[in-house]
Amino acid sequence: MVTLLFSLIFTPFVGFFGLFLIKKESVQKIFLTGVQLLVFLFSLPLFTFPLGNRFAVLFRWVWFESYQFSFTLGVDSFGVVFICLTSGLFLLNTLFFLKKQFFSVSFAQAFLFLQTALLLLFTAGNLIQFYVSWELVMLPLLYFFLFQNEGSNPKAQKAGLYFFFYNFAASLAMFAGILILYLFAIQNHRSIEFGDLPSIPPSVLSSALWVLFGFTFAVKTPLFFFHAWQPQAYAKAPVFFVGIFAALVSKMGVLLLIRVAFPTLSPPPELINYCFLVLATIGIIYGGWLALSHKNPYKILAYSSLSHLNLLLFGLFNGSALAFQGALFLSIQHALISFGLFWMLALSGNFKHHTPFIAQGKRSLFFSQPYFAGLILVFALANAGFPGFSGFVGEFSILLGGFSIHPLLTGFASLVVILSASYSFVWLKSFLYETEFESTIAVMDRILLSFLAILLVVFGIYPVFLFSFFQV
Amino acid sequence: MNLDFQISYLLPELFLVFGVVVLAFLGINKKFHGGALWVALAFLFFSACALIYYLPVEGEAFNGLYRKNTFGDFIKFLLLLNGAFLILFSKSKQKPKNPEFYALLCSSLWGGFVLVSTSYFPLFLVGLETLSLTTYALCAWQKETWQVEAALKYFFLGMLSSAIFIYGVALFYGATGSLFFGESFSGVPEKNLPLLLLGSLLILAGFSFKLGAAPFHFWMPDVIQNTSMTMAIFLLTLPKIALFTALHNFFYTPKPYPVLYFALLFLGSLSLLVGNAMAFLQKDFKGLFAYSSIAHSGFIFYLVSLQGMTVNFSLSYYLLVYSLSNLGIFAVLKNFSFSGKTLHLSDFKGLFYKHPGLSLLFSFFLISLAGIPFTPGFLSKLFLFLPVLNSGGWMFIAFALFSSAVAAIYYLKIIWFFFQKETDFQLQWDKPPILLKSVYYFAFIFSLLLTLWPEVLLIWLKHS
Repeated sequence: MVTLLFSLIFTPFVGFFGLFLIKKESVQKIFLTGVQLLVFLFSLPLFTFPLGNRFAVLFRWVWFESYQFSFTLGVDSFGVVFICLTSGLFLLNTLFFLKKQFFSVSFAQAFLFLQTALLLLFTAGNLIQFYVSWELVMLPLLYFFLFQNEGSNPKAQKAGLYFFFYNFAASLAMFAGILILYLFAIQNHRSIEFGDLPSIPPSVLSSALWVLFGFTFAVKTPLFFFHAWQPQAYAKAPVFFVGIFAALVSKMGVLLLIRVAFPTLSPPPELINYCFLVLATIGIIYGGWLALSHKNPYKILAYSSLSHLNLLLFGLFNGSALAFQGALFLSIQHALISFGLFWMLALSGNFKHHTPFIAQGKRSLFFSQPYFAGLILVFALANAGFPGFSGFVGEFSILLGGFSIHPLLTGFASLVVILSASYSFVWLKSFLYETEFESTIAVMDRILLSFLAILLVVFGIYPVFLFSFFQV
Repeated sequence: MNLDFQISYLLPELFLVFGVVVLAFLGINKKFHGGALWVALAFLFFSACALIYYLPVEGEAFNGLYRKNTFGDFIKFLLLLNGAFLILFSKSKQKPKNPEFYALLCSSLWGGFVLVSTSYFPLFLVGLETLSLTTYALCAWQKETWQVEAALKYFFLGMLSSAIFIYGVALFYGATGSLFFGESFSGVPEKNLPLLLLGSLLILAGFSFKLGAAPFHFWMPDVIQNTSMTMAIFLLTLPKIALFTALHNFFYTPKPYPVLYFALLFLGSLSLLVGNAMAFLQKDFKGLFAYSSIAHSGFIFYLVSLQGMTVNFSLSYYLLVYSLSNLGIFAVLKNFSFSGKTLHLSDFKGLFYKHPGLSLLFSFFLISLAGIPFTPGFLSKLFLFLPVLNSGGWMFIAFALFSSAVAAIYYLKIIWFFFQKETDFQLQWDKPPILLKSVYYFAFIFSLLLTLWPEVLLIWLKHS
């Protein structure tokens, strides 16, 4: 299993350097696809290993003994799901990315680097390594924002700077928190490895750490009030990159909670918890409301993401086990859905010319690409939380779990159902029927998207499979 | 006197003194000028060899006037390394430097050696003045008007600080009746305490003056901006390494005095604040690095008050990484010839598209100074924060974290300039001499090694 993990993590890294050597574009494309396929194949057998929700350390190389620094790799069941999600989404992403209008070598390398960094983060086995991998993820992200194909794009750079400053502040807070945890562990002669972290009793220290980690988490998985970077970043990032960005990067905060905060800290103090819940509830409504009022499809999806991620936060913090599992389930489903939706937008070209009327002789998307329009419908319904699709399962369990503990707030949070249905349908109407559409969607893309759509339906009908990985 | 102590243990110092004499004689005839660089390097090398050969020896000589321990030896090694880099760095194409330059450099190194290994005030002052006087002379080396002006400024203020220092020593002697610092703090009678504290504070002020720590920092950016590249990097690294170690030795006392620690922490916080705030506003390179070095002094001030193996390790690691990064940056900067005496940050717009490798190297050193992960700079900050946090200074660490975020912004701003496409790159680039290239490649390789294997330092320090 260690070999498997190593080959999984370092195959994209080898690919990153391999692309420096290959000069011919067609060979580059084949190489890239091969690397991604290999990573995906390596990730699948991870499911067969019996893993609990306790973090299992699989590999350890002591790097600096006196400070207990080491290079440690390990997984738990949550990690396995995310590793497979990462490898799967990167494979899909690559297959879309190979198109002529998107492909460039430097971005392919950035993707491979990002993949390595994410896999390192998901398998990082101790506190210091976790922080270093966390920062490693930031490098390719900045690259995507600052160096876009058509030279330097000022708006994207501005969005990138926003993203950078917010996340820099967040990592600083996390670094402070991790330093404190590290010292606590050392002073109590405990290990700093995940799965064996010391637990801190309810105290000022615990509350302070909740504030620090809570801030990081609130910025990363944007909670309302800390979210200002997110809509801009989603709208201005390169179109071939938003899918991955929305799907995986926003889940880093969840990872921080699962790996570091929940195992070590006692439950958050009432006040902090309540602040989280109230802000999340506001965020749910605010995101949905703004999604309803925007016209730019990227902005609509960005605000819809904001709304759903706040729902996810609501689930994580409202204290019921069912809602917690539901939130983790939603985090996977949100990744799949937003990845699919953002790629659909990217594939169907430029939407700036939104016209309410169809000119004579031109056809709308629904009539020129009916199959594609059907796929969009599936994704939009899943996003809106329609029963039978996977989005519903997560949302419903969060709201059901939350209602028994915080009935009033859950009542407000339930507005997400109405809001997401309304903005989805308004958007679908204008997108499918009122927009001119000329280009065709390749058969390959339709097959890949259908595969994703089938996944959404399968998880909607048979969610137990995923839930079994999220036992609390 | 420790009877086991042999004079051969002092070989590193003796080699340096011998080097000074030989180099001074080489200056007689112009024929010898070309080889002086290699002679100086050879003496530094011999000195380093002697240092490593006698590494396991720890002891005291001359009734405890001169101490030898692994930590001091490491700092001496670091000084030699810096000296060697500076010698390589000083090589210019036009005409070889006068051997006296290297003689002065060697004697300043000797001064640093004495500073590091003594805890007896008169000897300490000899070391301090040797280091300072040679530095004044070196600052005015090229005899340009602006350089002489800077050197004079430095000279006058340095003399003032020496006077303050000596006055502090006098008060200290009055209070304790001993010229040794360190253990003698414990036996002081109650009524002498104010005198002792005043003396110690004046000594601390003298130290901060020489180190260029806020609020005694005003000479430093001025001098660094108005001197040659070689001397700028000299001032940024060598005296700091020696003086911080000396300060660390000065605070080696079993019974701490809260006022002194408070003064140290105050100096540290103020240096961080002033250094970072002013560096943020700078538009030229030397000014930025002068102020950022003030900020880095602030970090180290937090550390010097603490004692123990881990602190020694943290201090040596920080000083090593700091000097390597600065050397690397200045060596890269020296590749470019520029008119006038200042090098603006905005001159480097578009460097990446003209010299990609060089700009990446430059960025590496910058992010190392900024303390961003996967660089030795991050580890050095981490190793610095941990002992301070362990001793309960979490508020100061919070402040340090905040100010390092500010610092990261102005370092990253420079990198941001490298990648701007709009303007063409204007600066003239001379093909660098191989010696200069070797400086930044060595600095880079050393930095990588330190990132991958930081334990090597601890192994050195524990070796006895």
